[in-house]
Amino acid sequence: MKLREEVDSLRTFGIPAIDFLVLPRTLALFLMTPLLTMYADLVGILGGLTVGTQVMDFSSLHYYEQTETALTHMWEIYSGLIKSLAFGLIIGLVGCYKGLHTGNDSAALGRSVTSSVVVSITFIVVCDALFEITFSFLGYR
Amino acid sequence: MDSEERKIILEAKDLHLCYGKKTILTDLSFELFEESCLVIMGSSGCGKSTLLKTLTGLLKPASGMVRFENGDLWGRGALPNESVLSNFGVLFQAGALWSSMNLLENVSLPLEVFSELNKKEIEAMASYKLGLVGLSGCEYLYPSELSGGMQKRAGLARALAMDPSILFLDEPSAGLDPINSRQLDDLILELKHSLGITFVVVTHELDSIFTIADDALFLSGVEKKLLERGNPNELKVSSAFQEVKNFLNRK
Repeated sequence: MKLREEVDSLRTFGIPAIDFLVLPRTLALFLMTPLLTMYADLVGILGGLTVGTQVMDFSSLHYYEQTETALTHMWEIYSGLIKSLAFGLIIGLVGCYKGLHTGNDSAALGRSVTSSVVVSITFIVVCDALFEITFSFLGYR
Repeated sequence: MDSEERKIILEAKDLHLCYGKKTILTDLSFELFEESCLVIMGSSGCGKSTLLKTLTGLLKPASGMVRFENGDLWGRGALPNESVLSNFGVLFQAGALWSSMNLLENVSLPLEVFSELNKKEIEAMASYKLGLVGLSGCEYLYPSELSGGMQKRAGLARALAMDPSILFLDEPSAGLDPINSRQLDDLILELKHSLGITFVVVTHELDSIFTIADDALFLSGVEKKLLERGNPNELKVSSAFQEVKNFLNRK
C-alpha cells in the first residue's frame, strides 16, 4: 500500500492510517488466530488418529481414550488459545509497522516482508517463553 | 486577464524543502490563481514531486508557508491543517486506488468519513463523480480490472469526491499512451471549465504542458530554486534562461 501511494492517498484525505489499516488488520488477527489454533488442534488430533491407526496399529477406541485422558483438564487447549491471542497481536502489529515503514521500491518491500517474518517469529518465541514461565510460576505446568 | 485581477487561491512563500540535511528547493514563492491550471515542470530530480508533497500535506517544509484562503497549511506544527487539506484533491502518479475496494467504494470512502450524507446519497454522489470522468457502469469493478488510463480517471473521480477547490495531479500522463494521455488532458480542461476547479499539475510531458497550462513554474535541480514562471507557450520563445528554452523545445 505504501508502494502504490495508497497510504499517502489516505493521508491527503485526512483519514488516519492507524484507524483504516492497522486497527482492522490487527483486530482481525487477534480474533482469528485462536480460531486458526483450534483448527490446527483438531487437524493435529485427526492426524494422530490416522497415523496411530494406520501405521502403529492402535485401535480407534484406544486412541480416543488416550486423547481424552490427555485432555482431561483441557489446559493444553486453553493455554494454546490464550497464547494465540498474543501471537495474533504480535503478527498484526509487526506486519503493519513494517508495512507502513517500508521504502518506495519493490526491493524495500521484499526486505520489509522478510524482516516482518523474522521479527514476528522472534517476538513469538520470546512471548511463548514468557507465557511458559508465567504458567509455571502459577502452577499450571 | 491580468494577474492583478485574478483571485489568488493559494500562496506559497519562502518555501525551503529538504529531506534530512539534503536541500531540494530553496526560497520558493509563488501564487496560484483561481480556476487556472499551473504546471510544475523541470528536469527529473529537480524537486517537482517534493514540492507537490509539501503542497498536499505530505511533507512539512523546513521553513516557509503555504497559505490557502485564510489558513496556513503547515501552521499547526508537524501535521498539516486538516481544514485546509479538506479543500484539496490529489491524483497520484499510480492512481493510488485502494485495491481491496471497488470503484464505488473508493470514491465513497472520503464521503463516508467526512460527509453527513446517508448511504444512498453517498452512492449516488460517487456514481455521479465516476460519470464525470467517463466511468459510468464501472462502479463495481476493482482497480486490478482497469487499464492504466481508467485507473487514472478513477483516481481523478476519487480526488473530486469532496468537491475540492484545488486538484493536484502528479504526472497524470505517466504510463499512458498518447491517445489516453490526450483524453486525460481534455478531461482536465473540461473539469476546469465546467466545475471551476483550479489545477496544479506536475508533469514533464510537453504535449500536456502546452495543452493544459495557463501558467508554469520551471524548477531548476542545479540551482535548487524556481528558475522562471510564465505561460509555457511564451516561455518557449522568450525565456530568459537557455535551460527553460531547451526543455520546452526538446533540445
